[in-house]
Amino acid sequence: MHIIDWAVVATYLVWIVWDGLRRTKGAKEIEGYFLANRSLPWWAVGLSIMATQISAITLVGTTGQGYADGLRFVQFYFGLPLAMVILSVTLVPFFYRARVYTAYEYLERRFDLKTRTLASLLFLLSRGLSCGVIVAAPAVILSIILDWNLPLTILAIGMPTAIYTMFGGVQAVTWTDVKQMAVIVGGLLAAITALLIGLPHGVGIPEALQIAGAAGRLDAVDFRFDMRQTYTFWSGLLGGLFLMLAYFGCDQSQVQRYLTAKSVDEGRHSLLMSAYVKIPLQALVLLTGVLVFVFYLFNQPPMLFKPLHAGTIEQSARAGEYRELETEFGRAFEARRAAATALVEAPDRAGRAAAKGTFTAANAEITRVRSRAAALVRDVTGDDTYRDTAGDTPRPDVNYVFPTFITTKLPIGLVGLMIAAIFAAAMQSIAGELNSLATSTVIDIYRRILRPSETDAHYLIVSKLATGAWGLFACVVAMFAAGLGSLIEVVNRFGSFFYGSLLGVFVLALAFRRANGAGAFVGLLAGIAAVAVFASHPATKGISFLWQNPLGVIVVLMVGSIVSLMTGGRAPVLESSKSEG
Amino acid sequence: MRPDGPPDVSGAEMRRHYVLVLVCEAVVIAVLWAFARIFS
Repeated sequence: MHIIDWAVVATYLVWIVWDGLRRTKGAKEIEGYFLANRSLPWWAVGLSIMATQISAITLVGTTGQGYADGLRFVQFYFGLPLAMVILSVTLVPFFYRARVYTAYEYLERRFDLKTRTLASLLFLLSRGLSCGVIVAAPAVILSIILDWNLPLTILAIGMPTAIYTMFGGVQAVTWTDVKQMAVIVGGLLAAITALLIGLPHGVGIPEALQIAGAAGRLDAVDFRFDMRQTYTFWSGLLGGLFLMLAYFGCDQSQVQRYLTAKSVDEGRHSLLMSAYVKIPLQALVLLTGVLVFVFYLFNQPPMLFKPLHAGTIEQSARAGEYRELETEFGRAFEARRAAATALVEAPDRAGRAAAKGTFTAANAEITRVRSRAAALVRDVTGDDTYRDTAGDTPRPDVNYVFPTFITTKLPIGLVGLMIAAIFAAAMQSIAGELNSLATSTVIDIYRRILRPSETDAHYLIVSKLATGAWGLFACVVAMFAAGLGSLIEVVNRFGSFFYGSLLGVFVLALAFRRANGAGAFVGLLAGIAAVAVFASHPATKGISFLWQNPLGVIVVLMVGSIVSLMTGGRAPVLESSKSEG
Repeated sequence: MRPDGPPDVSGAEMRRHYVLVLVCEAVVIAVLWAFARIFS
């Protein structure tokens, strides 16, 4: 990386940490530290909500998905706007009027302490581990692409974030999120401009879209009803609806964002901002990936984007075979480039149809050579992840497409801006998670169970220590997770096991007046168990994970209401008198 | 909600927001669908 790019990244890091630390004056008591004294404007909260969702792996993974599979991934978010409307009508006013710090605090007011504690512990365990994964994933990619030291990259991402979150609290998280979103969107627009400038003479935006369409990269909506497919209209709209309801309604990392808003309506508006912007923003990120695909039709890409195994292949007995494949890939690339040029230059409809056929065949040949290369890497290294594909690209390559483009094709200065954007995406989601982990630790566990009678100043110190401790924990987990691909998958799957069930408990609380603590607690455990069986049973494990969420809700509602009725229904206790918070 | 917060918007206005969100989503999905048809 050029020294100017280093300077851009360093400037970004210093700016963000400085901006976060100067928010410490707003964090003099625990309500200011965790909820900004419920004083933030809806637009800042809305940007913070979106920022917490966009991790670095979302930025590089989604562009890679766009490259490999086109716009189909956008369907994953089709349930989001409806979920935001439902939450604005139901849970948001409940949380506001209950004046809670955490979503789980409400569960004690409605049910009992054990249900609140179980929900909180599930959140802490899942989010604590996933926070480590969020640090590890971009660190691994940047360390491989830029040949950086991995532990130092982990610390460069994790420690500045932990420092400003620890001292500045939620104010620091929210206001740095606003700036980090600007860096990300600005970086994406700059990358799109560079991509369009990099296309050959005669290939403008309409021609680029025509080629992308011919390659099937613009097929954004698939109306087939197939529960095994994650990226279809129905999986996104129905399965995705439950996932988004659970994520935005029951996950403290999101709930805490809108609890900082000035009023219940400002909280609602912050959620509706995501409802308006999320799908177009995701489409823009995916379109960036699609344009990277078009760019690499005219500029030769590497045969495989992930460079990790290059040395091993070079020293193996099959190095010659791999070099032959690279020569074959070069020929296939030239044939595809010629076919793409012919497609653009075709004078009429008949000519375009013929050129499209040639282009499709040439693109299929590239896919075939890449598949053989991936199989060779798998045979030599034993890396089984090369067995999977995303669209027509080997799965391990997906996260390396955009970073490869950034570091090899962008001009000096813009490389630094895009690396800063990847840092921004990582840091904004980590900051939100650290802040919410500390909130749940202090409010749901420490203040409620361990030390209920301390002063506000005491809780503030403990909150800062808890934030720092979670930051340290995330970095330690990242060091281990970086070398364990399967662990990352386990962590992600663990979260999906209880998301729907947790949503089920909140639905039970709002919809069934006779539901009690025993019903909620047993229902939650039954829901998690049912989803775990569903996800691992041979007959159902092929079904998209999006459908695990409605299953969890249904099981919790059924078991929870039956157990509640068997144990005498709801105890006649005033809601407002049950919790110390 | 906070007593010192800004006044709440009316229920009818909030409902208009919700309808607008869903209409916008339908339009975006229709545009994405049409996009593929036009350029395929």
